[in-house]
Amino acid sequence: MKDERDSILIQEFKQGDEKAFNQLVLRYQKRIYTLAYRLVRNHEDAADLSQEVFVRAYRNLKRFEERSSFYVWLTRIAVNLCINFSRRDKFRSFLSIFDISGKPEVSVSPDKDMEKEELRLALDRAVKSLPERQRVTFVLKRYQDLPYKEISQIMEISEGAAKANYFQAVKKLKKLLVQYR
Amino acid sequence: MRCKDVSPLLIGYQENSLGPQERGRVKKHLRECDRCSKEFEEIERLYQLLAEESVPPPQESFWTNFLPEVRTRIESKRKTRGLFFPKPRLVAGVLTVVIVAIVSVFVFTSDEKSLVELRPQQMEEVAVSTPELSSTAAELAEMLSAEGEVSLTILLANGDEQQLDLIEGILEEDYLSELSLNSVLSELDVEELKELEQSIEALQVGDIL
Repeated sequence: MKDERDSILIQEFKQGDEKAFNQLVLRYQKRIYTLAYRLVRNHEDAADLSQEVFVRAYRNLKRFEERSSFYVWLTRIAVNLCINFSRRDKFRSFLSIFDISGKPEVSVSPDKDMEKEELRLALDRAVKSLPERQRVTFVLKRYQDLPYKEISQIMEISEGAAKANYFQAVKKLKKLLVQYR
Repeated sequence: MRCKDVSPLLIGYQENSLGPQERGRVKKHLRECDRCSKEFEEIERLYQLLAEESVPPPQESFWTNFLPEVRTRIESKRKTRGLFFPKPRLVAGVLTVVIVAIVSVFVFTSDEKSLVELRPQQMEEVAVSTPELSSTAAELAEMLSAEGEVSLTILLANGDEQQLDLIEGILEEDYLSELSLNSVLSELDVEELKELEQSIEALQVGDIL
């Protein structure tokens, strides 16, 4: 659903008001950061990617015709950036197999609640192991609370496919996290 | 209701997204079926686990610096774009065309023939790097998708700064290039499309050799 305030800010920006764009960033920075975090699952990359989302948005906002809501459009940018990042990251991980001086994957502070940390790592592994489309659909549905219709627009798939992706993701997570239940 | 009909509805049941009738039927089945009931418990437990995990809040300074950081990036990219550094994949495309050009020139000089005298087969080889110029945006989209970097390179080699900016803007955006180019082009207005079409039609093989 389109947000009237967003539309006004977008029009103001298109007419040359740079401050309108700042308002849009402030309105959505937390949601986009959270989405990026859910997809890449660490702060540094989520911070970098979420800022990059707004840079891309800035450069393309004048061509944005509001056929979807601004938030859905931003989400689409974020999802694609995160997918590209994950693909590169997967490749780097693959290369790091050959790097014996590489850092260990798990670094748990003794002060941290071990159980929570364990759960976090288990979820990290489980979510990261999902096929790309399932992972994105799962995050958009479960955490961003987007309806299947909007998810299907973002992912350019049918609503049925979005539902199937989500169900498959839940099934797999259920299986992968069986020992934490 | 049979188990195989209930199983796909359990997630919807957990999320309260079923209609009242369907919900009632699933509820009734769960009361009677241990297997489905167990599966539902597992789903519920998974949702509990997911709810327990939250995104760690970044430091407050992260939010204070967020907008200035975005602005800095926008400015720095604007400056970089002014200098026009092509992306590696575009460089790869340029190299491809250069190699094709060198091979073509080699063929030309060794046979001491002009380009127009090349045998039809040789002309076809040259034409590989020169897409069929189309008059519609849809065909342009297909052409670019099919020809990849080589076509882009031709555009890059010939376009003026404004054209380059337009083309680069469309094609370098990862989030857009992940999608079909048709959908990208549909975002352009008529003038931009015409501009793009004209710049492509103006291209000739001789321009790049």
